[in-house]
Amino acid sequence: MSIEIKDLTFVYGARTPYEKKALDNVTFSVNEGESVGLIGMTGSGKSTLLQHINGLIKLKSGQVKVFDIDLSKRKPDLMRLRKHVGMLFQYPEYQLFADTVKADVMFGPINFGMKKPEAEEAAKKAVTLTGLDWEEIKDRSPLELSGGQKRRVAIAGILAYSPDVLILDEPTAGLDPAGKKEMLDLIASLRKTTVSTVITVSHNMDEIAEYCDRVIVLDGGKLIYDTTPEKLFYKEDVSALRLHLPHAVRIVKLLEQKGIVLPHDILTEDALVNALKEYFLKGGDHA
Amino acid sequence: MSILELNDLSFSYKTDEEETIGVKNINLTVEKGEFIVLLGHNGCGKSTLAKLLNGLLLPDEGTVSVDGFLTSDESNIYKIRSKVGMVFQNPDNQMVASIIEDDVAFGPENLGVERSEIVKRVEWALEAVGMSAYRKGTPFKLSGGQKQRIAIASVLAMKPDVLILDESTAMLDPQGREEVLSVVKKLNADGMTVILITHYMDEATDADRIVVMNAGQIEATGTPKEIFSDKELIDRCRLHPPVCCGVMHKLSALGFPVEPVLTDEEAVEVLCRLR
Repeated sequence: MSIEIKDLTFVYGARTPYEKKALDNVTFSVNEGESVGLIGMTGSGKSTLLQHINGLIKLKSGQVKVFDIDLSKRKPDLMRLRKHVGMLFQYPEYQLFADTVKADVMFGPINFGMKKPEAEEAAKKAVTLTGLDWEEIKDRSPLELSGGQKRRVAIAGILAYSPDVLILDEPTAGLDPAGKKEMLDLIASLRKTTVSTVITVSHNMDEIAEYCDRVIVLDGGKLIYDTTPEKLFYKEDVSALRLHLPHAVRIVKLLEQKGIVLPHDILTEDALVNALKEYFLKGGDHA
Repeated sequence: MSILELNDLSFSYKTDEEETIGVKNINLTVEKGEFIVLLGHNGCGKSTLAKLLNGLLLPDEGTVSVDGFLTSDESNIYKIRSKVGMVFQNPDNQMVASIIEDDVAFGPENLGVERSEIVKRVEWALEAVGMSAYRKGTPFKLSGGQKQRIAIASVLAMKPDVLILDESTAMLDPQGREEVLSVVKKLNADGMTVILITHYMDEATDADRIVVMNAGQIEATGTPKEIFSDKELIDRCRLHPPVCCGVMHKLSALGFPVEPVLTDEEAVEVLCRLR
């Protein structure tokens, strides 16, 4: 078990007029190798939850255990926790700060105690993993790169200290369609080669449907669903949550009202095209 | 009647060492009341074009004329800025005052509008974006969508003819995007000319006209249906059409007799006819 969360409750501004319960009795765990999508409206508690997993918010009530680090114990080893959990914040390109890409990516490993040559080696490896050319980019200022490149460098800065879990807070926000696709493909390939466990926050249900094997839905600080994308989008009534359905699912449901029934495991454009092909080649209604 | 006229417009960014093309040989006429969506991948020149439209950048070659006034004539610049209002991507970067109605009043104050008129305009602008109830509040406690609506109100208070939104929905959640888009569509229905720059293809399906840019040039203009059914154009300009369009492209490539669509509902209609 990578992450175990039990009865987690958190209140902002407790005993003030601004008191707000951000997390309410949240319990779930994440296993190694899972790709979990975390969804919910703005203000549903997603960021508060993520910050707990990385020890950025002090645990007040409940339990958070990341690998063997128990955050409910006195003085948990936060340094080690943060090495386990690599966190990519929203718009990470604004957090690049060093003069060169090399220095920026080496910052993490050096702070976790690596020697310089070792850190450089790690940085080189991480930058290469994100699909950038190390020799070409290492001495350039991060500020002169394109938006997509900056975001890759930001991810490299995390990969350089080899975390075991990646937490991505809206990794595709603000990118153009090609940039979005590249970023998602990068994350998918990292899962195979480098970091198998990924938690992604996204408002884009098409992305969640395509790239996550499990979804957790927060609403008003409560965990209301912990299920697969297929079950969430086909079985549960998510309309009250103002969640948009993935387009492919929406089309399947509309077709069903008109009498064209397709399997309830279709989540992506390609899967929909395949199912339609099969349906019509078999002779439509007679299938 | 045309409100914007761009003739052979070119602009490049120059530093001591290098010159980067921003936009090149742009010819475009925008009619009053049109809803135009500008598409293209990052770095294709969309924002450069937007900044040329209200004189934030001045053309190297060619001209931009706003309601008959050239941006290259310095004496026109205030007039042009009040005619072409711009809302940017990051809501937090666009708030200047700590009280919402002061923020909205900032534009007309700077244009030297009479106080009594400013009061009227602020009231009208906040009403138009559905934020009147918040007028005495502070912008900093609002959601992203609400902040962008205030940013739009601040532009409206200058009574512009053209509203440009440069990826103004990019940082918003789905609810915020819907809020902003419904305000923009309502303004357009009331006669405002709108130029919307976006990466969300589903925001483009309601446009009167889509302008696709690539490498600083206009690659194509057309109705949403024309643009999204052009598979070759989409691939070349690295656009990503809505899922329903993608499904139609792929079925058509497989030999099914389908036609271009813009919405999931239309797609379902077309598919039902295949039975």
